[in-house]
Amino acid sequence: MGAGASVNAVFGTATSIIAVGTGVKIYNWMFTMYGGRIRFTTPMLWAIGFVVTFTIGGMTGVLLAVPPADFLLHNSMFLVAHFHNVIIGGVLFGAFAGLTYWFPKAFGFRLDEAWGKAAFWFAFVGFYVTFVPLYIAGLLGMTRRLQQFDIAAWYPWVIVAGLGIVVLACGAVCQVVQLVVSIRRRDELRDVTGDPWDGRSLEWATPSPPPTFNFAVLPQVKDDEPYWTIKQRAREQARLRPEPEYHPIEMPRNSPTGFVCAFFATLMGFALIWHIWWLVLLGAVGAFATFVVFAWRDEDEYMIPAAEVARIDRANREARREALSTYTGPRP
Amino acid sequence: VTSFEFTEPLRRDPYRIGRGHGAHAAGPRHGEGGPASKRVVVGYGFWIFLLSDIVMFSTFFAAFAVLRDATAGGPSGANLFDIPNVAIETGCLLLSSFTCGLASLAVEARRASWFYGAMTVTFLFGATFILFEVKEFAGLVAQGAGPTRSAFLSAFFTLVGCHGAHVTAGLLWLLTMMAQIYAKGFRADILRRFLCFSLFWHALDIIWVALFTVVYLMGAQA
Repeated sequence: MGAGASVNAVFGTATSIIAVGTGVKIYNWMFTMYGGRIRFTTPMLWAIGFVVTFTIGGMTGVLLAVPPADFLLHNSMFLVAHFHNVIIGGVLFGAFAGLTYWFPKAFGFRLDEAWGKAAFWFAFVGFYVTFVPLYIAGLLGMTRRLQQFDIAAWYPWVIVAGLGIVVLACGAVCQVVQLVVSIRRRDELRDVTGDPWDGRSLEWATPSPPPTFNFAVLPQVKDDEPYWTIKQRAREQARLRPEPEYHPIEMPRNSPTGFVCAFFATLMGFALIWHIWWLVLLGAVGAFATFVVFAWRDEDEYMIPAAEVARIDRANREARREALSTYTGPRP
Repeated sequence: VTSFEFTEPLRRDPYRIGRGHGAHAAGPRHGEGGPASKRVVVGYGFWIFLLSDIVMFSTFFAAFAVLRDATAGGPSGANLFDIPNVAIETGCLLLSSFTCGLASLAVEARRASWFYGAMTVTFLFGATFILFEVKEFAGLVAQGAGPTRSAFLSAFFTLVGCHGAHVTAGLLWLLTMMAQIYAKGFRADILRRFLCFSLFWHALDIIWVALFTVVYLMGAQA
């Protein structure tokens, strides 16, 4: 950049330091998979695509941490390619992995695998076809945000990038189709047990979608993977844990207070900017009055009776017992 | 406590993280030990809010530190700040924190009259603080040193004004707390709310100590 030696030194050092922590995270993700039995389902594809793409984006970031290189590459297509590499690989792919993985937990049915895989491959291939040429165009001297240019050497790379966008767009269309198809086929894709991926962590011990109280009985955590331990024991003994003793569960009452307060506070902020003093007063009084009404409630909690907790948990245990009796996968 | 915990090798969890205090918690049992008490949960949540508020203040502090000398040919802190005035302001806020502590003791002892007395004094000290601040701001604007005069003054009004807005909101909260104790008595949920209020009030005091030092004392020297 052209902001002076000290600013360059600070930015260069800060960028290099970020690379250390990010590098450690990438080893975390790899070692999490190492030695595991990896199934190439849609979320896993997105996760692997994320790790690979993010690593490449991170490495071009390290190049930009070198002030002399940054001085040349600043505002070039190389920089554009770098940050899209990190944002798409690091945020979008990761977010899609999480979305696909936890969708059944939140909504009670899985997303369609075929459309999901198609979406991944279009997006993954489309991403590289779009952005690798832009790295090269940047190295050839192309700057960003050009309205027009007449340098013949850049054309092939920009045209390839344009084709890549078409492939990426196909991926986006597949995502939408995946959601529509999955909603229409939701009965076939229903997650009856609450554990559609044979997961290891505790959220998969709850039904999908989870009841408001999440766990019928608070799980006792005594090792790294309590749910996996419980599940492996169930598979060894071919039966579920004995039914727990159910107790009533205390839950906070729902309240629209946050929404109403935010509405009045927004009015007040808007009015302050435009000097509409009567509206400032209205917003302030409205927000405070809402707060007082909320604070004046005498009952802000309610009990879910033990019988209701038992009913919900027993239904889920029944589904899990059914799944255990037909289980054919690997045993401990 | 089950026998399991005694046979567990110590190295796995030498400090027994996450296995404390739950057994003493009131409320329905919810698995072994049970959840943390509501007082702990509420206090913890409010600490997270306070820390996020302090993060916000630290950005305003950073902006002020960077823009302190950007006076655009206008007056600097040395020309504008009336340190004796601000010292009285500071004294008011520190004393209000002390009387807020007295109100906490009154709550612990369930002494309503002491509580109202301590809270009233806290309110008066807090209101005096705000009065001094409003007078200072009005004086600055009157002599042409408003927030639009320079980057230094923009940063000054943003930082100090943001603290003042917090104290004003705190005064409203204080009155609400008094009304709640009056109407509902020393009920467990009201006591938890009072715990949050006193944390808030002390946090504003801590921020003011930093503000008095960085803005006024250091600013008046420059």
